[in-house]
Amino acid sequence: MPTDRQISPITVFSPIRRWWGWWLWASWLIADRSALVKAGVLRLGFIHVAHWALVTRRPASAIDRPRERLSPPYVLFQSNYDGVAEDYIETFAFKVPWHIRGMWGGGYGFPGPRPPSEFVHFVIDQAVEAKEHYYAAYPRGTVRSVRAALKLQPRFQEFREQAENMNDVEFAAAWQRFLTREQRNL
Amino acid sequence: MRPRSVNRAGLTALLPIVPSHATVLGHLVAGLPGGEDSPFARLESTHFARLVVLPPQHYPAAKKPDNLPACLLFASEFDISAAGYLDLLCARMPETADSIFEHCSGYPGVSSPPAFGRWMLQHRIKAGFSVHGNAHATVGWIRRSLALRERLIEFAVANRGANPSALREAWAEQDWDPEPEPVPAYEPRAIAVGPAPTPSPGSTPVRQDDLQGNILCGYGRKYGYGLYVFAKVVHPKAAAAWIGAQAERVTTARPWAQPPQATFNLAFTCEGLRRLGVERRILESFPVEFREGMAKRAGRLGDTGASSPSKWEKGLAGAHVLVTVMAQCAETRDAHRLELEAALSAGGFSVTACQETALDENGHEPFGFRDGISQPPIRDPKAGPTRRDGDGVPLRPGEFVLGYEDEGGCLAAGPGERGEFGRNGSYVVVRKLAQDVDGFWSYMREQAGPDRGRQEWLASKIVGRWPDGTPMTLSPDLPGALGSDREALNKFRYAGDANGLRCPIGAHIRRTNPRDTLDRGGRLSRRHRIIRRGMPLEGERGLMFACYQASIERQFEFVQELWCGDGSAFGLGDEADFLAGLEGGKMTVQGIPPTLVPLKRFVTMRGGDYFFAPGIATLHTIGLGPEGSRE
Repeated sequence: MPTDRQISPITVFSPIRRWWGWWLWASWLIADRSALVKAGVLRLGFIHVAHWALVTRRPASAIDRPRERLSPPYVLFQSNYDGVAEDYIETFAFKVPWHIRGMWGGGYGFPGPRPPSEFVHFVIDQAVEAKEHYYAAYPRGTVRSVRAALKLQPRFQEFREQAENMNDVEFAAAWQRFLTREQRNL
Repeated sequence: MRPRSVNRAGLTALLPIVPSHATVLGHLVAGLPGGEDSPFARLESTHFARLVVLPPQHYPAAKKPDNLPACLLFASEFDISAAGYLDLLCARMPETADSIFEHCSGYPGVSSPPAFGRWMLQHRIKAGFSVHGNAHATVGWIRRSLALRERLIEFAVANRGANPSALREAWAEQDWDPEPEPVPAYEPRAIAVGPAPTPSPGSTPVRQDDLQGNILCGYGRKYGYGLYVFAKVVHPKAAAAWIGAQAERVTTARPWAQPPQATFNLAFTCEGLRRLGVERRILESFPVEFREGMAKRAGRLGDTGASSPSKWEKGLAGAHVLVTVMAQCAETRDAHRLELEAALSAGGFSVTACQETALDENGHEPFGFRDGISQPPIRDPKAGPTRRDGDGVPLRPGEFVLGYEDEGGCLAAGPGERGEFGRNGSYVVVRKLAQDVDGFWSYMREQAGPDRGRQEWLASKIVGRWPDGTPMTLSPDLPGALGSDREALNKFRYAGDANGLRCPIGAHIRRTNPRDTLDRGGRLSRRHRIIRRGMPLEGERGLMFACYQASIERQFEFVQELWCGDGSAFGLGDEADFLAGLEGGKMTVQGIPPTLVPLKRFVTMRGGDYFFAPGIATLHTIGLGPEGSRE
């Protein structure tokens, strides 16, 4: 392996205006079911998992105690991504500015997605830096290499089955064809 | 066996920490073993898991600010139902669960999984909007697929060119159900919170009389003899006075009435600025990568093995001052060397290293390829090249000079109060790179066969240009098709070559300047450009690499680490740049059939450092010395 690149996590707590919480609640009902809305984010190709959630109440100190309303509410953003945080957020700002407005538009201190440097600072400033434990089951598998490996797997099995009945020359030719076809996944 | 479709589930819970237990819990959480030994590795359906001891959140600007008390954030992503996952957690990691969660209020213990599940789900924070990069595969399936992909790559590289019977034999011997590699422990990477960026008031013309020369606008091929003098400060007071006295001698970016015989420029490491008496608060406002210096960043730059700092030439790293001279002839350069060595010694410095450089008469670097063709064009027409020497859209000067608007729409932040100390300054990365030219071409022969044309073709695919500079993407079969005009050699994009059949996706020039590979407009590439001012070494085979930028981390380090040291951004997995000087792995030259070239080290780092080339006004400030250095 030439490098020790790894998947990294980020957790961001952003205080928001209460009315913005209602907007998020309503818009997420539709957006979370829409492949079209998600496509822009997924096309970025470096997010393994990202969640946005609303934190509107304090955690209760006992199971039978009511959870008090929190002022201000927070948007909790968590992501597992490839690369470095600053570039990850800047790419977000460049490529999916409308998603960003839709998520943080009612946040205190939200500067908007442009200029990107200000948005990067806004997010990094709210990112949680604390004692933590992190586990990733395939830390060197980037989103794109996982996609490539998943595509390759069934095609390899198919090739393997076909190869069983080939002579050496046929096999060598078939191997070259396999390599040519799958070179983007290798 | 095909993967079964899975419904990925996630669980995020905010668990209140028992008052005064946060510190203990923090130590416990941070002390959990990582990687293969992580307790979550025992839950085989876990993709990602995280435990974070959150400090209290408080936002005073809100109308009625409440405190969100210290909590333990537990977040996990898995392949089964949340209830099933929590049952599994109780069964597989009961001791760890007890030791961690017992510090949270209301924890019922894992002896009763239903009670534990109810407790956890009571504190659950439901995600409102989620995206998954690979939602429909289980952990096991992903890990096995990645292992198989690695095995296939190894096989393809090892058996390239094998005859049919040998290939078949090797195939039969191979274990095609490889075990996934062990999970390495996570090494956290700090997220640096810098000062808040200053919105740009708009573009302003670059002050050429305060900017050192050779940054936005190069001195040109006329100045083909270079000298890099590295020195340490011995007597700070005298050294500062010497710097102050040289400030007016420094070659600026102002157009010349009469071209000088030689140019003269100064740059400093962070330690050098400290020795010269620059105030601590100013030093602390420099970005962390500059303060640390290149040797400390070796891991992320790929400077390992033969390139590691312990093997660097003495004097190139850890210097305080870099004096560069570019001369029109060798005699002038040599005369300057003698004068400089004497002047520096008399001026309170000790010279640690001297490196002479000379341009090849054809402008080729030691491997034989024409160099320095593509430089970023600058939006300020008086300050640097606009379109003629560059490619694509001109960049705002703030990408390279502090105090001006950058491509992120803000002022490139400089050190010092209101950035005054950094104004009109630029960061310089200097790296002495040794090139094993004979080894490189003999390896090309080994990989491509005895035909010289085929060897040149393979080397050109690795570089992305033919030796004469013709880009592969415009002329994949023949060099020389576009003549030698730099504008013609630069007018191209990669949109029509998305599969890399003309210029390989992992070719050196495509990685270092991906143009429109990452996005149609090339906007993402523009945030990571550098201005290269390197020159071949004299008397040695190699390059004195030098580049200017406004942020070493965002520009040079990003390109070196993420675009050259890794292929993820281009969909190439962990495939590194062939010329990055890394060993292990391969480069894919896309084609029918593709050519897989194992990586081998032909470029070795010999030493270097991160410098800051200040504006002329700042040089005068430095010249005031330890007592007088004030903004």
